[in-house]
This record gives sequence, structure tokens and C-alpha cells, in this order.
Amino acid sequence: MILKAYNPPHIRKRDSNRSMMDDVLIVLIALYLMAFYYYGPRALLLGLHAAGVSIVCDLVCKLLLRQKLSLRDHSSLVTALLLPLLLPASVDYAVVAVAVAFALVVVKYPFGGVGHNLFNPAAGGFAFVAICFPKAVFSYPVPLEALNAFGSFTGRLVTSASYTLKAGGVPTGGDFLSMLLGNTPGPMGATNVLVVCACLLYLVVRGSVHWQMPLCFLGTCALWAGLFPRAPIPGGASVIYELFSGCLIMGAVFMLTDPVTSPKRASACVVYAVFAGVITMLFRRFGGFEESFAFSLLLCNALAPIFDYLDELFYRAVRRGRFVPAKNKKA
Amino acid sequence: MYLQRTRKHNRLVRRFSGLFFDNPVLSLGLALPLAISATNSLQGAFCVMIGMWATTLPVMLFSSLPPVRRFLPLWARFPVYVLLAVAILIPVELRLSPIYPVVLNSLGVYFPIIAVNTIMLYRCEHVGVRCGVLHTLIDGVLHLLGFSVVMALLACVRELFGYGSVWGIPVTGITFKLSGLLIPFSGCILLAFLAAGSRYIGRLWRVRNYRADLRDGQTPAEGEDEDLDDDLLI
Amino acid sequence: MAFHFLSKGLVLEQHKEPALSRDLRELIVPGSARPLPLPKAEDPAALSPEEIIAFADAAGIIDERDSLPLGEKLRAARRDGGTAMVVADAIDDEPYVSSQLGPLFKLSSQAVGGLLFAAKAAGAQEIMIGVYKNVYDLRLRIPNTLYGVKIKRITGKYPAEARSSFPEGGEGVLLVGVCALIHLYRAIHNHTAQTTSFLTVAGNCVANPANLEATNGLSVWQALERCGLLEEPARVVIGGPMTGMSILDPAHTPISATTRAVLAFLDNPRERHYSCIGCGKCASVCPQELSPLFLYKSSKQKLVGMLRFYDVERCIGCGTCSYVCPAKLELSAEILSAKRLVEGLDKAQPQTQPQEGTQEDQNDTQSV
Repeated sequence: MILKAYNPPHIRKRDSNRSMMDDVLIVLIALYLMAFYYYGPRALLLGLHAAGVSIVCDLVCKLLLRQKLSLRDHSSLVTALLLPLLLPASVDYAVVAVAVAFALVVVKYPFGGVGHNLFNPAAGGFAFVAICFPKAVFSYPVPLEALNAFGSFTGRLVTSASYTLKAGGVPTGGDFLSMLLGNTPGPMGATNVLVVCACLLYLVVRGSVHWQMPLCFLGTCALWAGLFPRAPIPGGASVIYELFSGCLIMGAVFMLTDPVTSPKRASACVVYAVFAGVITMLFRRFGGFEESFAFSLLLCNALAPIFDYLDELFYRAVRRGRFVPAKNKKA
Repeated sequence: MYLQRTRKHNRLVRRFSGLFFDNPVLSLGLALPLAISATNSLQGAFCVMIGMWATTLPVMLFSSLPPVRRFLPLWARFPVYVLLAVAILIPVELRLSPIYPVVLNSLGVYFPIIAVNTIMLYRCEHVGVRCGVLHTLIDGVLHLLGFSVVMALLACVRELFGYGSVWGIPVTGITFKLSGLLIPFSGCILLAFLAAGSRYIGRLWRVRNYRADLRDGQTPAEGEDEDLDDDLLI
Repeated sequence: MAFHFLSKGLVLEQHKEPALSRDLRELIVPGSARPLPLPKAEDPAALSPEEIIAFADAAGIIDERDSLPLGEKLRAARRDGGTAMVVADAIDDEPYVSSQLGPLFKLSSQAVGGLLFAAKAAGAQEIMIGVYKNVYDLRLRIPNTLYGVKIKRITGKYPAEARSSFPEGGEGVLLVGVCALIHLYRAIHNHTAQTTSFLTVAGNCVANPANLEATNGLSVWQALERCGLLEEPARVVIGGPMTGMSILDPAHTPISATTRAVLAFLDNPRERHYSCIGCGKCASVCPQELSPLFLYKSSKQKLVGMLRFYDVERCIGCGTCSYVCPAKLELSAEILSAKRLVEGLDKAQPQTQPQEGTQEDQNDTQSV
């Protein structure tokens, strides 16, 4: 009998791309449940709407790129479910559709699709809608008040803690416990800090993310916030307000650790995370928008290959025991 | 003849190069800042188009004049072209500013840089100093037509979906306005999609011709070599 | 041992039972034993080193570790002024394979006897046995000494055989496979040439996994049927599961001294090739500290300069990168073919190290 020839190794680890994305999906669904608790069924409907738009965009783009039509790779779903969590629950359905469409059709697929995009699609989508509809994206409903499920939002809109901090004031939205649990107005999925930290723990244990990145990033942000507070408050309180306002922790867990756009080795990730922390805090102080993590992340994504290159030079020296400069590098 | 349709297509491409097949903005990447930053509104695009036609054609004709081709040294060519363009552009702007004051103000630096636009400089050196006056005139007209079409298209789309108006007149149907389309970043992206689209259409046409030729099933004539046949080059 | 959790590599589940505990099976063609063309050794203990090497040559013993003839190895060790230590290599770090461990414990006297002969031939003062034990091998009991010879326990992640070192021997350490030592003992005491090899037959398609002593030249299919097949296998591999070769025609592939193991697997995982998402797991697990994902991308695009920059020559082909890759890419196979490409280019046009200036440009224009 004639068998087929296969390449070694003949045993493989059981997880796959899909299982890594499924882990992130599970964690995002947990965040949606928390958003449902605070903002009602509108949160879930926004998520479903985003998922539907992403499936349509996915199929159209794959047809144009002549790739195999299948939904087996869940990376577009991850992007689509992440975007409404960065936006307020009061946002229009059309805004979410525009964000998802931009993220997939402009940021992800023209560069080659899964695994080839230079920029984080969720960050790109959020940046575009922040530029197009700044009032809709940066005014938030009050949690635990009734929200209409369909159509435009007709309730009360307030500003979040990050707006107060940008203006140089002390946020009065709530005490430490309510900020931890998410009882303050803010982006739908980013206010419940406790749940986001639990998600981080789950992802680290499953091995989907480099644990060094969120830790170093948040450490750098905390250090900066403690040394240079934006409001006349003591260092410790400044650290807490800075970290808990806006989507800093959520971005660190979901957007900064995106495997495609971040450096590949753990040692390069540490340097990248520190750099991203400095850039984010600079954007927060001197930037135009009150929540500018997406913009600083796009900048860092553009510079990520430099960290890879420097790290590779470092490891070349480690392998040889001395420094060998690289000549005639062709990228 | 072998590959009859492909030969005809290539002759068409060479004759009309600049309008669709070698579009200066989409294929050659010339005059990009004008196409990206000046297409916020249709009126702005129209002002830039007038400026381009007014400066590029005369300078190209000037560069193809026999005395200029023979006597102007290499190091002096670009400064002379630019000086000539500036000399033409200043009266054009003076003529336009009472008609479109707001638009010209909002264009800022992107109107004066028409004097150093790359379509003019590139085509002068590529075609002007080598070919006769008539050929340069045709080439200049085609390239400017190509540029104008792209500018008009981009400006229409961006103004329609960004402001909800065309030529300053509000369109009643548009209720959903994406103001992010008005910043240059969106201009870059739209231009990229347009370039990809034009490449795709051009490729479809070429492939259709080639497939039809192969279906006819002809073979090269005796002594003909495919690689050396001039008609098969583009 | 304390630092093995810091070293790079994989902790693989070993699956060595029940093959290891079972008795050795035999698949010997009757009448295939071949006598040696030398006179019989009357007093084996009084043989001189040159005579031992002559016996090894005449018996045609092949060391299964590196497929070198044993006589050559001993002669080379003797020529360099003798080695300090001879180590019997029973380091089976790949899963399923126990073709050195099994004979070591079932035919211990023959193994130790062969080791003593080899030490005498190489002129070594010290001898040792190296055995690999993983955290998954809970049932394996390794004694401290075997007939007076010290056993060194090698622990650590896969790949351990390539990275094992014996600092007790100082400068000169000669590693010889246990099966070759057993054949050396038999050559001297029983006056027979090496006509059989030890191999492990295992895998989830085999009914009775066992260590087998089979005559060289028999087909792989016969070895599989000796241990019983549950069904028609979908994949047959000779060698270990991490670095072994999958064969097309088991009925016409012969067994040799370097086969080491025959594995039969029931089903294949679905061939799903996702695209690389840059998770970096391959780079975090490579024992040589390389970056397999960049090597893979450079190899796909045939960029020789980039392959050299990422040090493709250092790859040892252990296969850990392909094992952990979640996108199920064929990283190891691609990188090994890139390594062969670069080595071929180097042979055609020798590089001068460390200056990689103009030569590299020439090579790049040749290859692209």
C-alpha cells in the first residue's frame, strides 16, 4: 500500500489559531454580559450588529482577494466584538457599522488579511469614528439607567472621567469601588476594571498573550501618572484615576497584545510596552481627544518592526557571544 | 496575426497613455499632494485644475521648442521651468481670488505648489526634451485630462459624503455625513482604492484580450520571435 | 537539573510504556546469523585494544546514534591519544522511542560488557551510562549503578540528546550507543556479526507496542505485523515522532541499524494551514534561540541575505517550532530546506567570515 508522506514532527500541540481566537471571544462575551448588566439589551444588540457587519465585510473582502470563503478563522469576529466595547452604549448602530467596516475593509484586508495587517484593526476603526463623530463617541450614558434597545439613543448623556482629567479637574464620578466595578460612565466594556483584569489572567494562563506586555505597559503608565499628575491630586490617587479612566487597561489587554501587530519575542515586547506606555501618556497630556489610546497604539504598531530588528541584533550577539553588525539587510 | 487583439490593445495604450492606462496620479504617483489635500471640495479641485492646465501645458510646450532643447543646459532646466510656471501662476491666482476667495484661502499652500508640480517636471524631461511639439502637446493634454478626471472623482465623493453638498449646494438625500472623509488621511485611502480599482479594470481588459487571442489559436509566423516583437510591448 | 525549567524546549509526554516494560521480542530470520572471519576469542578479557577494534570492524557494527561504524569511532578516539571517558548513550528523548533504554535494562550484562570492551579499546579510564528521564516517566525506575557502572540521569526538556554534556569526563568524552555496545559484546563472546537491530514498534495503531530485535533487511511492514496492527495505518514513521521520516511504502522499506523506531498512527489531524499570526511561540521555544517565524518567511521568499542574518545555519532540526505552532505551519521542514539551500550556496562559493559584504550581494543576485 502506498501512504502519503508527511513532514516531521508527527505529533503536534493541540491548540490552533482558532482556539487562541476562541479564548479571546469567550473573554469578550464575559465583558458583554457585564455591559448587559449595566446598560441593558442595547449592549448585546450592538455586539450582534457588529458581528453581522463583520461577517458581510469578511465575505466581500475574501471574494475580492480570491481567498477561500470560510469563517473558520475567528479573527474578524474578535475585532468586531471588541469595537462596541470601546464605544459608549448610547452610540448609533450606524456608527458601529462604519467602525467595523473601516476596520476590516481599510485596515485589515488591503494589507493581506489575517496575519499581514500592519495596524490593529480595532484601533483603526475606533480612530476613524472618533474623528468622524467625536460627540457621539465621547459622551456616555449613565449606567443602570434604562436605555432603548433599538434606534437612536434618547436619554441623558454625560462626560466621563477622562474628560475631566484632560481639562485638569478632579473626577467626581464615583469612589474607588464604583470605578473598579464599572458603575461610572465610560466606554461600554472598559469601565469594569475587575472583570478586565480577570480576563487578562485567563488569557495569560491559556497562553494567548505575552504576559510581559500589559504588565510593563500599565507599570509605565502608573509610574508616569504618579510622577506627573494631570490634576491637583496626590500621586496615588492620580495613578488610580489615570489607570481606571478611559480604555487604558482594556486596550492593554486586548489591543496592545494583538499578536500580529506587536513584536514577536518576549524581550522585544517588554521594550515595546514601555515605549507604548510613554507615548500613550504623552498623547493623553498633549493630544486633542480625551481618550487617545487608539491613536498612540497605531503609532506604536507602525514602529513595532524596529523593536523586532533590534531584538534580533541582540539575540545574534547572544548566540555568538559578541556583537556582529548586520550588513545588506533586505527587508 | 498572432495575438491580434493584444497588439491592438497595446497600440491603444501607447497612443492614449496618460488618460487611463498610465494615469499620472493613479499609476505614476505624480502630483499626489494635490490629489489628496486639494480634493476636499469640488470648487477647490476646480481651482487646482485651472491652475494645472494654465501652467503645465505652456511649460511643456516651451520645453519641447527646438532652441530650448538644444541650448538649455541640464542644470538650468528645472529652475527655468519653475520660474516660468510661477510667472504664469501669479496672474492666474490674482484672477481667481475674487471669484473663489474662501476656497483659495482654505487650500493654503496647495495652490502655489502647482508651480512645482511633478506632472509638469516629469513629462517635460520625459517627453518634452525628446519629442516634437505636437507629440508633447498631445501627451500633456492626455495627462492633464487624466489628472482632472481623478481630481473631479475624488472631490465629488469626498464632498458628497463629507459635507453633504456638491459645489457648495446641499444635497437633500444625504443625512449621514462622515466628516472623517475631509481630512487628508481619507484622501490617501480613497486614492489607494481608486488606484487598485483602475489596476484591476486594466488587468481585466488585458486578460480578456489575451484569452480571446489564445482561443483563436494562432501560432507565431515563421521567423517571428515573441520577445522581440515591438507590437507586443506596452 | 535545577535549571532545566529555565532552559528552552518542550516537555513532551513520553508514551514509552508499555513497550519499555515488556520483554524484548524477536523477529529474527532463521539462519541469518553470520560468523566472523576472525579466529574465535579464547579469552575475551585478555584481548588487546587493537584486537577489539578488529572484532568491531569484522562484525560491521554501526552505531545507531550517528550511523558511523563503531570500529572507525574507536580507532579515531584511540588515535587522538585516547579519550578520558566512554559513555553509553541511552538518551531516548523523543516520545515512543525506547530502543536504547529497553535493551539496556533487559540485556544489562551484555551492555555493560560491551561498554568495558569499548573503554579498553578507546583507552579510557572512566565509563558511564547516560539515561534520559522525563517528568512524565513516572513508572521508570532507574538504579544508580548498573553492574558497578554509574548511571547519570539526564533530565530536561526536549531536545536533550543534542544538548547533553558530560563534564565529568573533562575534555575527551566518547558517546557510543547502547545497541552498538551490545553487538560488540556479542561479536566477541558469540562470534557473530551484527545482523539484527533493536527498534521500538509503537504508536496508536499498534496492538502490542514492544521493543523488537529484528534482522536487518526485513521490511517495516513485517516489524509492524510482528507487534500486531489494529487497522490499516494512515501514517508510518521511521525514527522518532519529532524528527522521523514518514515512509510511503512500508512493505518495501527495509530495517537498518539506524531505524531506531517504527511508529504507526491511526489517523491524521486535518491539514489546516492557517496563516502565521506572529504569536512568537516558536521563538520562545527554540533551543538554539533562533526566530523560526522570520526564517520561515525569508525562506518562502528565498531571501538568502535575510536567512543568513537570522542564522539559519544554527538550526538543529529538532522540530519544536512546528510542534507548538498554532497555525500548523511546516516551520521545521521549510527551515531545514532553507538551511540546505544556504549550505549549497556556501559550498559553491565559500563565504569568508565574518565579513559578509560583497559575497552576500553576489549570492543574493544569484538566488533571487
